[in-house]
Amino acid sequence: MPTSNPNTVIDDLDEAIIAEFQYDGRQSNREVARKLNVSEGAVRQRLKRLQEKKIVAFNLLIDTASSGNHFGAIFRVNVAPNQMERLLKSAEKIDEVTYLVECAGRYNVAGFISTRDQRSALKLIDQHFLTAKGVNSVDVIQLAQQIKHNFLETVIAEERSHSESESSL
Amino acid sequence: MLLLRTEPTQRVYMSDLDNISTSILRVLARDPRTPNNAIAKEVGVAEATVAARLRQMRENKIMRVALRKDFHAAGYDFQTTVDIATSGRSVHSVAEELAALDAVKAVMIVMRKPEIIITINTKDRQELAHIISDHVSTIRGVAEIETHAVLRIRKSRVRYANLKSKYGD
Repeated sequence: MPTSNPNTVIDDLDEAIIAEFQYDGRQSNREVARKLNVSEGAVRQRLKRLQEKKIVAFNLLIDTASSGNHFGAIFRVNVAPNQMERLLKSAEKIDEVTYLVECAGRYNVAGFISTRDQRSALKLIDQHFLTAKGVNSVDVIQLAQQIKHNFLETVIAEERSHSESESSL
Repeated sequence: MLLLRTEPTQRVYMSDLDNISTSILRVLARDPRTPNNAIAKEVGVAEATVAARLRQMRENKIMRVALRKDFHAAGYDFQTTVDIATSGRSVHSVAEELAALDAVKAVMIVMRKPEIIITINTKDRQELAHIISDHVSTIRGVAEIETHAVLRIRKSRVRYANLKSKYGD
């Protein structure tokens, strides 16, 4: 895992601004400034700096059930080391793959796939993993219930290297 | 079912929203901070309609815009996936107790044994060891623990989340 970003100095006012926008990302800078008793310019400048340094990013979140994505599964793949990068690059591009990691142990690639139904997920897994070069095994573990999911802390720097439609203010 | 196209690789499926709401979400998927008047112009409705729809969707926990903080900036450097097998207690109760732990960022109940998969974020290995031995393993009903270290997070696009759960806000 990459080491800490050296540009991540965050003071108390930054933290307060972040907390406000974590609670409601549609508030205006003016509303946040008023709540924290600082100038609108201070909020705007700090937010800009935090976004530029990729410490924070705005995100639209849609409720899974309302979105019609009723199927979720964890996949775990054991792939030959010399084919791993190729597999990861291809998996990164799949829109339905929402989480993808390199790991240590019985499998070296893992992730999460979110689709409308089981059939669509299995089709993607078949296409991109089961039939891919160097793949020794694929384990698909169907999600029954998501009890907790922290979506306020994710890796932002790495994520930005993909073609993202998310905010680039 | 409506199919929203926000960019070539980014689709948003919405099953129970009308055209106006889905159009608003399409704008927000591209830029979550678009002001209401700009959304109104693009969608072709009054600004008050946009404000009302956004309030309604937020209240019904269909969507929210949130600021995300970078994993490293939040003080973490280590992510671990842990498979947990339970015995002698309902899987759901064990999962709820795990979810209450702060370091546990995701809890999923899956359709196989081990029945629970969790994600833990820590600043280092030592903190992980502490959480596993002093917290996770002391929960009643936790029978087996298998940890898998994440070496690198390649993608963590948070688009869908269970906003209706008690951890959704």
